[in-house]
Amino acid sequence: MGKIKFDPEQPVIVLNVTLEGHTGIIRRIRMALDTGATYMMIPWEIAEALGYEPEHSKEKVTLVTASGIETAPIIKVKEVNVLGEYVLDVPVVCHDLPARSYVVGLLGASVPRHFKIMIDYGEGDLEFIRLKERQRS
Amino acid sequence: MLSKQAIKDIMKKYKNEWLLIKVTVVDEQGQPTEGEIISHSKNRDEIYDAQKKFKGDLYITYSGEMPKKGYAVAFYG
Repeated sequence: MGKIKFDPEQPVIVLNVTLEGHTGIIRRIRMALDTGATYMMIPWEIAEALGYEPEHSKEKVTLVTASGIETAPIIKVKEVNVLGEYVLDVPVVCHDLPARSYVVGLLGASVPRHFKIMIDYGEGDLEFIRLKERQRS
Repeated sequence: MLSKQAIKDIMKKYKNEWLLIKVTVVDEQGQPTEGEIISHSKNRDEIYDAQKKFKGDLYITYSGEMPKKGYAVAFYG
């Protein structure tokens, strides 16, 4: 179980998320929790630093953005760790957020779906409790 | 030579900047608590480019607050 305090006055909940690539390289990045998003989203540069080649990914997703429709590659990151809880082989979309979003990526549902998530806006508590049926195989 | 500092001190020192930090200590939840500043910039893309030159365990963050009053946030994906 992972637990953290957050500021309920802030417009989004921000978390530090750790990504480990198949080469053992680690990037810890600031992400916005977005359970309404289908996937995690990280910048191309982070994916490349982790040892992936997004341009060669066969799996793609169509994104509908304010500026139009775009296609972005999906990679599978070896391990994603949130608040001390890890998930393996996580599908992640490679796409940059605007710089003024002030986060590096989005923590979309591809990770939270492995957990029961408790968000208490009154106390500013966020808790990730692992779902037993989705534990590491 | 880079010097180890508490992450909270690095965040205070380089306020409202994008930071690239070599992680030296994490807590039990994997949150970085101590590190060595490698690069800092107002320009996010400079930090994204800089991190590509390093292997190992790096922390990439922004030391300012989230969008100011008058902004709303809508993500997609």
